[in-house]
Amino acid sequence: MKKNSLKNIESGFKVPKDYFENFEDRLLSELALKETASHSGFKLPADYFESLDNKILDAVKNDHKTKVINLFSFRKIAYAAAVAASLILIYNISYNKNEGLNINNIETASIENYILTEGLETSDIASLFSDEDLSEITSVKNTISSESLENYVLENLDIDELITNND
Amino acid sequence: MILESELVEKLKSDTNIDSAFKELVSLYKERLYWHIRHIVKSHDDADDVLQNTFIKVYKNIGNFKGESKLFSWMYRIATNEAITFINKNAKRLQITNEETQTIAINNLAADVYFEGEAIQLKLQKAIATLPQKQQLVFNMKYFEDLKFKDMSDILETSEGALKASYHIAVKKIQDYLTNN
Repeated sequence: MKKNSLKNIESGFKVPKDYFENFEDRLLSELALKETASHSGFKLPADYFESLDNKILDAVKNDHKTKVINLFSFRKIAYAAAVAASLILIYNISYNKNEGLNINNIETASIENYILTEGLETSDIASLFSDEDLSEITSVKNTISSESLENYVLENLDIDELITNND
Repeated sequence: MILESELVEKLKSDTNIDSAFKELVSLYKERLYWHIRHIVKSHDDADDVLQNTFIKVYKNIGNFKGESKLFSWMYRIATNEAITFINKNAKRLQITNEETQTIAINNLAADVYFEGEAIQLKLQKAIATLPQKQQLVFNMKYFEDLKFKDMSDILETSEGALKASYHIAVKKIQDYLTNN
């Protein structure tokens, strides 16, 4: 026994951990599986491999031909893309032009903000109105009932101010 | 039989490429076919992928450095093509790779190029439960009978890891077959 183990050391050969413990298990599980199902069940069309060589050689040659067509269609795509890109560009430019600064497309909040921060005087605003606008405002005034007008005057205006304005 | 180095030399030359390529096809078509077939399952898909594989080989033979064997280089292309094929299908149908495989296996039952024995179908179902790398290892060893050394070159994984992986795969399949 001693001699044997000495021999083992001399040879320098080692086995993986648990090699012999698992040996049967490894061997038997594969054998058992092969016994149940040794083949995959996959089948082939008759003479498949016989005609395969030519099929593959044809496919390789055709692929080379398609390569040329591919290059051509790439050019076509490039032209089409260039046309599409310029159309989009033209559309964008003309669209932007149409979208000029207009009182209707400015948000009310922005206008309000502008008036508040720029410190506009009443006279500045008044200068923006034409005579027609003013007459419109007058007509609006007429629709206010005398009762509410009276209330407004009583609550907000100084009687002295009214007197001076009447001069 | 022609030496691999001579064949590579011929494949890289402009004058001999066609005859050398023919030789390459007849030499590897069957092995690569079965390798692909075990990944994609259906004959028609395997036929498509095999042709794409040889087209890739023909186009890229100029880039073949000779660092690995021509044999393992081609197997690697075939593996990539087959897996890309599955991924593309999954993307097209907007499902996972595993679902694509389940569909492929369910189709086998009605496939004329599949022997309709229950055990073979069950075996395919059992294989499908494994992770992709383990499936490759199992198929390459169990059905294609490749050496662990060659598999190590193809899959760029150590032989030890492949052996362990194969053993686990066999166990899992056996368990699946006894439990289902």
